[in-house]
Amino acid sequence: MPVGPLDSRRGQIALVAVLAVAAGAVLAPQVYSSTSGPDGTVAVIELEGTIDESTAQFVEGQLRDARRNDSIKAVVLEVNSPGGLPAQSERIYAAVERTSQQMPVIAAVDTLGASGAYLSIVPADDIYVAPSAQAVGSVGVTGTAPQPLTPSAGDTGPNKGSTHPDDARANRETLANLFLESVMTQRGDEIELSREEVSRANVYLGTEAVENGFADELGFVSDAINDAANRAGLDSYEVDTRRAEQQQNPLSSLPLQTEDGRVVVGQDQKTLNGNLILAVAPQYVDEVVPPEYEVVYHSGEYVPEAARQSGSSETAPTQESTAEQGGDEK
Amino acid sequence: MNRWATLLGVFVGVFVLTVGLVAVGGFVLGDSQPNQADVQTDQWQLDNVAPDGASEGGEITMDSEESNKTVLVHLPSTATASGTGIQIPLQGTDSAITTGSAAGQERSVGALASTLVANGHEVEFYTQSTQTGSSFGQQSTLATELSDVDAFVTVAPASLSSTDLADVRTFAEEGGRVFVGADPGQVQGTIEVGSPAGIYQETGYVYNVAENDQNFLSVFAEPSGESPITDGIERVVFRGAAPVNQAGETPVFTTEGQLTTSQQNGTFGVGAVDGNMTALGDTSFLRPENAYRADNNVLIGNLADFLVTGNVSENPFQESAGVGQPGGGTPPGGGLRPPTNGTSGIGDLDSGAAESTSD
Repeated sequence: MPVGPLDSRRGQIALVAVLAVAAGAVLAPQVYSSTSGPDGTVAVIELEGTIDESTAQFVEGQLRDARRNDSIKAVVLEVNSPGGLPAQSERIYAAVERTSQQMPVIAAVDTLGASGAYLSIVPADDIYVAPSAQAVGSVGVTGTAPQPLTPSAGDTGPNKGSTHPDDARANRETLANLFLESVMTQRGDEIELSREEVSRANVYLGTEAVENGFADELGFVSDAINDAANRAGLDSYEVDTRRAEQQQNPLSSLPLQTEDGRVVVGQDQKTLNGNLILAVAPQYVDEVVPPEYEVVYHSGEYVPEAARQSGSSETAPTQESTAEQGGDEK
Repeated sequence: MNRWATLLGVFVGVFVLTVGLVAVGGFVLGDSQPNQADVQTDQWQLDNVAPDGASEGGEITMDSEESNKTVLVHLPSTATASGTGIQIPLQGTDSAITTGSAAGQERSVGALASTLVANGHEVEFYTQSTQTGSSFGQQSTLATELSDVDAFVTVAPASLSSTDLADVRTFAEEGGRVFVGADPGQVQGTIEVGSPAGIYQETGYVYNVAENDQNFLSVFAEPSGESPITDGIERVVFRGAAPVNQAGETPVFTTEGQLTTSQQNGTFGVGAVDGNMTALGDTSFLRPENAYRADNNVLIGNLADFLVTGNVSENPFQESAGVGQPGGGTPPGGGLRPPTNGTSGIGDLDSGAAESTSD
């Protein structure tokens, strides 16, 4: 009976060695990565454009994922937004606060971190702003000016279709106070302005914002990433940037678009949904308006469309200005 | 056979053991829904964010026992309206109505007009535009109207022509009572009609972000001196106040705040009274939604009393017409021309009908 190579003791040892090498090779990547890989991940989450339902869903979802993903040790919010809907801004605010209880969260503003965008990021551990950031703050809300009840036999009650001016005024002030209280709760110790001064809804340059406490540091996203990693105790880290898919129309879910394609922001324009109040910095909304829309600002009297078209708008208030960006003319 | 049975048994046993361990491990080590951290919500409670505001209520009453006085109310035409008579599209139609379905521009003085009528006085409206003034050889339309009334109210002095404003000055000098609603944007008209009495308006509006009636533009104005206009008033609400003062005199109303143009903090005069002329830097208190806010109702009653307690000369333009308006004055046949287009009286309406015009 012939003797095979595995029948000998030497052959059996060789076989076991080969199997051990193979097993080691299978585990080698994990072992290598555990010894030489990053200590964790810093997630960079984009907060871009007007804040509507889709914006809130994206940022809230990304922050939820960060909290549940053991490899993510810190979050940086990359912000460029003039604000949007108040409730959607509050959704992001709550998600940022929850996340900041679990890991470092730092916001970085390049140009716009205004109104609802500022509300969204105010619970962050630190706010970085570019020195030339142009709009940080704007703690307030805006909408159409209160109007008398509009009679309509189609409604089952006087307040079904419109709101009494007293109630509209009170609702608007309540929304502004909600915004103001959130800011003062989160940054009351840092902001060096009085509550009344904050309620003026001013916007500040980046360099001013650091001085008055609306922001903490002058810097950019890379500075925020490095700071976040240090706060998380990461000697080495990788960066995972999460950008929202480009919206076809960033204002599609905001009630700013009129039937004829104009986008209206202001206080006294009936073609808006008069009951919806926005946390936006109106002067910067055109940053995110696509070229096929016209932006019309009204801060004074409502000018009927017929009067505008007939050229009698010279009697309109001087506050009106029109920025037409005709897509066909480009 | 036994060998195959043994192998099958080993396979099944190992398989069940493996799956069982995985299942148990899943329960023990699985990624269950993590507890969500709480968010601080105290700052969102309604008690913390509900705005303070003025109380609302009371009645509009007149103390004067005068009767059958006639008050001419000037309203800007629709084309030149500023802050009055805002048009609202009717739901489901292409047409538009002015605010208050039964009222037009007169809505901006609705509470005052209905108060006057309810107390036995007559109200006429004058809605001529700036283009209508006197022409050579003719007396101005407004002068014609003023010749037949006891008091004059304008909520848009800047939309009156210089001729009209001169007639208003003459009317006041002849004993006619005049109220000038000097909303922001009415500087030119207010100064032109008020300057002989030292009354002037400044550009811009006063706001207050700390103490207001639920909006920074809705400031509280308080009496600052003795005047029949301020009797019984603790404070009124002006929803868009312009600085109005009188040279060398204490303003009748002042408000704390900041001026938009200079951004200076301070106390600003927002009303002045000189003899037969009263100018207030706001007309919003006359609107039906604001008429009962704070002591606005008292102010409206006081203003109505002021308007009907003057003593205008029988023909205030008889002398001045020949000087300032060549050829003007008494038309052939004697007496002034009857009221022409541009006026409509509601003095024959009862108070209920008048109130219906203010929504």
